[in-house]
Amino acid sequence: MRFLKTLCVVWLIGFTLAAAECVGDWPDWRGPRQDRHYDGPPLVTSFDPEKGTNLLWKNDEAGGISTPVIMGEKLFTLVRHKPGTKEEAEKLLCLDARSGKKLWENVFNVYLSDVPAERVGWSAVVADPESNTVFAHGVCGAFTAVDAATGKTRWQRSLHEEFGFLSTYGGRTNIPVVFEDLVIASAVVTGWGDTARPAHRFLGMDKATGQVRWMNGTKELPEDTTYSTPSLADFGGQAALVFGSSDGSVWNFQPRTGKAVWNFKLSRRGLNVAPLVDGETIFISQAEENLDNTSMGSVTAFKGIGAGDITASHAVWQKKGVMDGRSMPVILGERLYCIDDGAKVYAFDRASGAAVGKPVKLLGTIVRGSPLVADGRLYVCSTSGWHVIEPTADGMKFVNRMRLDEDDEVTASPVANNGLVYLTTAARLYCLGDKAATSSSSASVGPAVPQKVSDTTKAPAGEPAWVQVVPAEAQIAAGETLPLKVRLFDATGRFVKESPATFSASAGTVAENGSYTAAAGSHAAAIVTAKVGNLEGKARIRSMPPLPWSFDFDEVALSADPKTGVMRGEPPLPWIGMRYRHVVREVDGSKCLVKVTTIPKGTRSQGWIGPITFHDYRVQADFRARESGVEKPGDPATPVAKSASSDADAFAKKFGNPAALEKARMPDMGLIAQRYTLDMMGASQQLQLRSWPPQVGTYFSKTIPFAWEAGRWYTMKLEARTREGSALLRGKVWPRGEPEPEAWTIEGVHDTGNLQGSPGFFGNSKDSEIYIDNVRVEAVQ
Amino acid sequence: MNIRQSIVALATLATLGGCGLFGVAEAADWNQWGGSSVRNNVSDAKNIPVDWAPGDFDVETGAWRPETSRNVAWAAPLGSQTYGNPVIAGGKAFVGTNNGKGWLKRYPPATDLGCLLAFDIKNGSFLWQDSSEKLPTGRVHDWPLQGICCAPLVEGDRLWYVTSRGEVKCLDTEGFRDGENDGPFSGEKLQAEDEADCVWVLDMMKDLGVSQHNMCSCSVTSAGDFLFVNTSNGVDEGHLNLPNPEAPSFLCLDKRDGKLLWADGSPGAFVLHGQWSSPAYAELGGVPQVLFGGGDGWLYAFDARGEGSSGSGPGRAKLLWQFDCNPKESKYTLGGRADRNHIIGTPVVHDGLVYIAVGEDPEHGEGVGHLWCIDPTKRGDVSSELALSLADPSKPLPRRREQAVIKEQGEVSRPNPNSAAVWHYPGFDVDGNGKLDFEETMHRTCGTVAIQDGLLFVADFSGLFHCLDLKTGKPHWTHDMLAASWGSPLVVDGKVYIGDEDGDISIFKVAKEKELIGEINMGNSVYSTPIVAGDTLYIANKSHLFAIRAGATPVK
Repeated sequence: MRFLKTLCVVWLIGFTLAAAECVGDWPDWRGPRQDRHYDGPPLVTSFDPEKGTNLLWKNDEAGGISTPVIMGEKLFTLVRHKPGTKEEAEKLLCLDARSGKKLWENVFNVYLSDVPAERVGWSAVVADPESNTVFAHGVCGAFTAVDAATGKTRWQRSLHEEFGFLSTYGGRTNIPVVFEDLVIASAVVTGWGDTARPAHRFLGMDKATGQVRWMNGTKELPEDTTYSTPSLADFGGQAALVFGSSDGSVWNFQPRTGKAVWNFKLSRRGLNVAPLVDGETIFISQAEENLDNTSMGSVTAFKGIGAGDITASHAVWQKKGVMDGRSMPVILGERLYCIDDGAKVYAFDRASGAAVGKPVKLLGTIVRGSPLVADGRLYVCSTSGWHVIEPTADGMKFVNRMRLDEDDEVTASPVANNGLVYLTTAARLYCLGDKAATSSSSASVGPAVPQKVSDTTKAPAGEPAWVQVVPAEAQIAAGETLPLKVRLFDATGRFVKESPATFSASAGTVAENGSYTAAAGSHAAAIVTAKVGNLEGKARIRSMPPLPWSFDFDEVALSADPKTGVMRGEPPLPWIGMRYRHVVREVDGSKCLVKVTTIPKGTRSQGWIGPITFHDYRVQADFRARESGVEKPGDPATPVAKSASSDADAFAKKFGNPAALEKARMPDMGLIAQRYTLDMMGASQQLQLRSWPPQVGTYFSKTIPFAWEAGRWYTMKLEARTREGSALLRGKVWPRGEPEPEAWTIEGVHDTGNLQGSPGFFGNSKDSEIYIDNVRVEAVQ
Repeated sequence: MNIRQSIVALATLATLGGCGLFGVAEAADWNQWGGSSVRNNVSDAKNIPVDWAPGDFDVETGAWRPETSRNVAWAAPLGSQTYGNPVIAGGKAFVGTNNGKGWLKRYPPATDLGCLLAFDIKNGSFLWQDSSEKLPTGRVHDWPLQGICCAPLVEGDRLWYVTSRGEVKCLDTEGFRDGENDGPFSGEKLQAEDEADCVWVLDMMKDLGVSQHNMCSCSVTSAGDFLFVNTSNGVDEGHLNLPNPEAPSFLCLDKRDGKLLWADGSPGAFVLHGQWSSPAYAELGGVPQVLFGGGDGWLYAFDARGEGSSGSGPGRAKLLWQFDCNPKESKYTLGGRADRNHIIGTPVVHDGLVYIAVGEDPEHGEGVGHLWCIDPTKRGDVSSELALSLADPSKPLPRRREQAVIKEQGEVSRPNPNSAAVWHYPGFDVDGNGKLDFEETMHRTCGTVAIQDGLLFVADFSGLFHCLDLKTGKPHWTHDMLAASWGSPLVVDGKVYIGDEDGDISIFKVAKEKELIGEINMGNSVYSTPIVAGDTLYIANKSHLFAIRAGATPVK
């Protein structure tokens, strides 16, 4: 400790920066100022993994794809837990940043997600020194606030079950940020009511409790899921949350209210790069289609002031054709450095955008992480190479570069703290430093450095211009009362005060003091409006009665679809992820839920209908797959030229019979209970019990052959029970109308089980519709 | 013509000249991927430039500025992403791309399409477009903005290709400009001069139950009236299950009307991801063989004639041999650490032997690969190894998808006495340090080899360009381009050309000693493969097709 402190003092004298920054934390994957800059004792520029040169320690358990953060001499990262085993999960791992020894771990299951295990830990955690909390956005949507000292869970939300956060095979998971008393997370969301159609939406949550303060999104029906980490900024005294969105624009939301301030359009595809904010200037890159010609990729500088669409008015410079779609741009001196996806480093004059020298090629062909700026150099990793680069008068040069072993594929970004570099590879986490410099010292202790929050954005506040009703999103029991608070903000997003308001509600009742009481005995979703003067704010509250439940959809009103004329109605309003993808129609003489085939994307999806706290219950429903039939001439689903030579017969002779084609188009459809799915798989004619679909080969699952037909109704039942940390699952399927078989069709015990979760539905209706009727949910003892 | 008649026709062709005649176009043409059905991307043209400048493009409009180019005859605007390789035939250039340019008024650039474009090679002027609207099921079948990802086959006034909607289409190369609506299909709603004239279409999704993963990318080839197609049948969104493992992977159609002659679904449920390889055809050991790279990492050879035809109905596939291109202990997982791959490149036939390398979706990162030289005259399982259980080593283990041999379960790999491997190139320990360093490793590749003068060239996805001795498979040299290559080399006039993701075309002398003649940047990524037709070199980057010719005066 003595040595490092001395070193810090010497270094401080030389560079005249704040002491806090010398020994401060690295609480965000981008560093304390969210700019990838490290200020502290000098770092080593080379290491040798085999000989151990400049290698202080390595920890295999911390290997993966997530970039670690450091707070209070603890290192935190998201990794796979017990990879490839029945107990596999995701975990927040805490190491002693000096020794690499494990201090604690916080393990949480991955459930109801298409993310393969190799993409677990896609996000990075964020540490909050003020509350000594670490926030982790798990790949499936499990969002956990963890006590940094003990590893104990402070609170947890299930963002996919509760709000409809998408979690896909690609794994793209957003990285949360902390702002004042909020932690902010986002994803493409397919929720309920106004959020039923997909959009990239943000949740501002009370970091102490997880209560939702605000929810807002960008343009609906984006092409992609994305993971651009928001940057916090101060534009003329107005706090800003700047992020690249799934809709292809950079947006600024007020972080306290979620109110959209401006947007800057860049691409028709989603943006993944974290924006760099430098004063009023925002630098961001992307590697997708530009909007005005056939070029792809750009690096753009624009001013983050103004309001509305500032695309045309606020651009400073733009360089098209630079394909940096993953790595965050960084500033070093007067230059902006960008690394393209193919591992080339570009330098631009940050003011004019003029290219400085020619791009320099790294070892390797892929870059996923972002540079670390330290000691006047760039520390850069391709997936297969380590590089340290130094600016020169007319460009840049390598100080060091080295090929990494195949095992050491790098997806994360290197970080630094107290003279040490932390490099995460697929196989391990390396701590790099000068052994001589650190051997006689112990860990330095410095004051925690809060994340960048500008006091100028707090006060004095102006006149109220925005009403926030808290909680903005909630789910309660039918008949339960929920106190609502009204918080006022001025036009620039500064908090003014809490306030009384005049309340009204679209369902249930709301008292003068803002206590909302949900209607008893029914499933409801209410919009509660709080009026303060001429201002209005809203809260959205779902409520459900205690079990048992039953839904036959017979009371749902039908009306003609304006486009097709087909009579159809809406699924229950409080259901998550259901309305956009389902309608209510009359089938076989009875109204039922229909999962449609015609929505763009999302034909393979899931939805949830209850609280996540449910456990020990069974869910039952009738299912029917629409028989799609072998392609018939004139089918309206065939907008292009019809086949002139249907070879169904020929195919049948080789591969079986026309039923094979029918079978190939059968949907998968099933029930969800307590985070498990019972899936009638059409094409493969199987019945499968699972929780984490891509890992059925190694993780908990049961699959049995199961012959079933399209065009016929079946009754499916899934029961979930908890037993001392395990989950007991039992399912059965039988033709509707026949006596229920006594025996269960499929059973399983998940030792590291999911012990709670909402009932719901799963369906893959790519080629044929799914009909669902007579839904029952009831508790089991 | 039924299958028997087709077989007779094929036998006649084989008798006339063997594989060398099949698919070889006029000297001025380059009528299919790889130039012919043997897929060896070698041209006998002379005086092809090694020095040119593609020219600049207006930053705002994207328009080409021909006055800044050198040795470029014309540059035709394509979409924003171009993965389909150009083909030159009958005075026209055909290339698959997306709709970024928006050549047709009815489809503005904001409308995502798969586009097959036809240009006049005299001046690069646009002729017509075949448009494939995006499938509503989205990226699992039809990835956004990636357009047509294959090269067509052209013979006479007929063109065949696989659309982004999972269709095999036959088009009239003249479009509607010849004043005719060629059929049997004649239901085109729009018959303007800039629209395509469809002759027939086979919808593999609807008629054969195929579910391609992410895209179809097969560049078809032919022999006589046979048309060979890889359907791209693959996994679903969950990436584990095939929606229809019984759907065919490999097809033989009658190219005149699209009728199915035979089909095979060999990889079945063992497909790892997608099936994006293209077939090759040649007469080998006296048998007309069609070679298909499978999504399971196996190379399959079939008798092109099939068997068991009932006359008017389809026959059966006749499998001749199959070769596992992965080591038995390799394991498939997601990401760069996986060492089990599938086949994306195209098999190449040269001097009676077959050459093929393995690769993976580039999104899965860099990784190790393998290149093989295979004797195609053996039959059965001709893999270099067999997967056996120590408990019963008398018979091979049943096939598995992700790993053939699991040591922990008492399983081993043993040399196959029936191996057809002539040589295997996983890399070569040049410095003798006991391991394959990066520069000594054959990595995953999407590419296809090119062979001339006893030398074999192949690029890998990690950016290495390998020159091997054709007989031994030992490297003469490698070159690190420091950029991923998705394409394949072109050999012409004693030089070998290779493009990369940085947009560079590297030009080497065809020699045992490495000699880099030039490196020319094309302005943006070159995911395609250079080709030569007549005296012109054609290179497509993402957004333009360039016609490069010595002394050319650019057409504005």
